[in-house]
Amino acid sequence: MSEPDVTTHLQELRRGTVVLACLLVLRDPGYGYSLLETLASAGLAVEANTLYPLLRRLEAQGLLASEWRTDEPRPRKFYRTTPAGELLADTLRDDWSRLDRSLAGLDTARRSAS
Amino acid sequence: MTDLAERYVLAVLRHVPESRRGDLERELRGTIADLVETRTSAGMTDAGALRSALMELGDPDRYLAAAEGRPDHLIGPEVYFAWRRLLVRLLAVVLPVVVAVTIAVRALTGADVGEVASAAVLVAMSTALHIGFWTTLVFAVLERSGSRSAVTRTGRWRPEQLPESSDGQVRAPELAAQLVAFALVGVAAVWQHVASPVVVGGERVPLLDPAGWAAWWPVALAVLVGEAVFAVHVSRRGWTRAAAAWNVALASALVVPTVAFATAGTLFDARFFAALGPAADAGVVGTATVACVVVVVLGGVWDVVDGVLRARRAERRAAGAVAPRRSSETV
Repeated sequence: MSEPDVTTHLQELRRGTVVLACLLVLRDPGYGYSLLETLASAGLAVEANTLYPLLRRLEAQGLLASEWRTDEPRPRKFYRTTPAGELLADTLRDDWSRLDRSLAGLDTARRSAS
Repeated sequence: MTDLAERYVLAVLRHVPESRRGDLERELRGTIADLVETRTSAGMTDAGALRSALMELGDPDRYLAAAEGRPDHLIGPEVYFAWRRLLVRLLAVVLPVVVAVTIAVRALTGADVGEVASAAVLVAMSTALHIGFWTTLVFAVLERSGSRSAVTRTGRWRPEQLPESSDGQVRAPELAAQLVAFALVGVAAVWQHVASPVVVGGERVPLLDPAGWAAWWPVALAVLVGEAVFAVHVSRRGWTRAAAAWNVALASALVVPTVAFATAGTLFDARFFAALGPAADAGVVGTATVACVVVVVLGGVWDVVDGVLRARRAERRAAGAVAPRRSSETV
């Protein structure tokens, strides 16, 4: 398989995980750039032009709530996961685990068959 | 250099209503400052850091579309195929008719070959542009008005839409012949009215009586276009009961007015026949009227019966093709 194919498939596979990661991390309030760094250090590198718009969309959907904090060096918009966001995070997290188990099951089945 | 940041913010906010700008603007300025700060503390120059930060945020239009959840396409995947099918069908049906009528009208009003050709090319291009533009505009509006679920629901694909593969199918040459015939009838109808070869006292005398024809011709042309659309539809979807019913309606739309004009004596213009020669007296008009009515009525009846028979055959074939497969599945 050529290099661009792998990149595309990896992007496809990771697409939904950014939302889940944001909802999990923002149980403790954080602002855009802090989240960017937290995700990067956790091995989930996200681009700024993906993350910032995503936060606004999740807020519009009621999955995140926000407040402006002015005690910082510059005013920052802090996001926090709402109860609805928590609920979605649980659902997504469960599904991710289930998918992982299913894939693992398929993988060993294939290995033992060959 | 902050000029660049300022321009970026303005570019993002350009299409945002005043009332919703505040929050977005404040956060965007903070974001740029954060991104620049980490870059300068890593040793970049101010200018380099700003440039790099803005590059990471990317195209302002794309940023706003993502932030506001606006579509980043003109026609999305949900309605794309409905759009394409409609566009292709309109072009295939309307273009040949319009071009044929243009060529006929130009040729018969005394234009030379060059004029006819250039008129045909121009009208084909402008018609194609109009069809493409208006169809696309309607679908782009549907895409943005939230009505695309209605498009996908009503236009939802069903197995009956599959093109038929066996004998019941209307073949391409048959369809082409039908379309050419409709175009020729349309051209002839317009031609006899605007450019009749029979001239009496310096005035062109049409074959069909203008008393009736003048009011009826838009309807007649609409019915012809309807027949053409219907022919294309049947060639794609095959004959069904609904198609047979439409066929009855279309045939009636041609037969009923013809018979009505014939009964009222206003089908043909008597002057047209009188001008043909001394042998052509009033009796000829009557004979021509009767002949015309017989041909139109018989043709209409044949068309209707043919449609019903084809629909029944297609229905029986569909039933026969499905039944055995169903029984084999249960085994």
